[in-house]
Amino acid sequence: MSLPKPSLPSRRDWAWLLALVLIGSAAGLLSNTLNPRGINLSIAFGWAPVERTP
Amino acid sequence: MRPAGVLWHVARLLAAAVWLLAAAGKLLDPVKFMGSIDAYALLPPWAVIGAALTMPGIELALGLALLSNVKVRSAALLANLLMLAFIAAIGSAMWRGLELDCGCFDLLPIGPSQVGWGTIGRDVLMMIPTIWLAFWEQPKR
Repeated sequence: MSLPKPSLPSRRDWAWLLALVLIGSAAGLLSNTLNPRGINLSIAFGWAPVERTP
Repeated sequence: MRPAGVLWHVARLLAAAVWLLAAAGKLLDPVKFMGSIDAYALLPPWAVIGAALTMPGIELALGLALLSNVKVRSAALLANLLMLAFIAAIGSAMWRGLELDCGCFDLLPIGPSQVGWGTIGRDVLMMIPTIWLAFWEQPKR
């Protein structure tokens, strides 16, 4: 069994890596939005209004 | 197909299974995953939230690319980079004497879940197929 020689990834490979990161990040954000058990961004980032008791 | 070609596809499918399994557990319970990242005490809160929101999707994307035999080299490169980051995070937790769950595979545990040499060894083993996929051309038929 002869294996091909190793070779370094091309610029195109690195560009597709970046594309995978961007597509994956968008998919992750969308999945979190659609998931009822997802992270509540308002609470996580502290955007939710604070209820003040009189 | 030659044996090297068959082995290449076996490596690709094995790596795809690992990353899809890792992504599934995190996508189903993002809040738990966010807690796991926070427990490492490495990132500021905004980065913990950002990582918990995006990482599962990135793992899903690279797992699907490996599974569908599309842009395998880029997906394998990304898998190696992520795995190196995980190994660094686990090593850092061990260095600081933290005893915590690694937060790697919540759906179906593969190997040890407590951070330690076992989790590092497992991650290194899982990198073998993706190193091959990333730095060697697909064997010709």
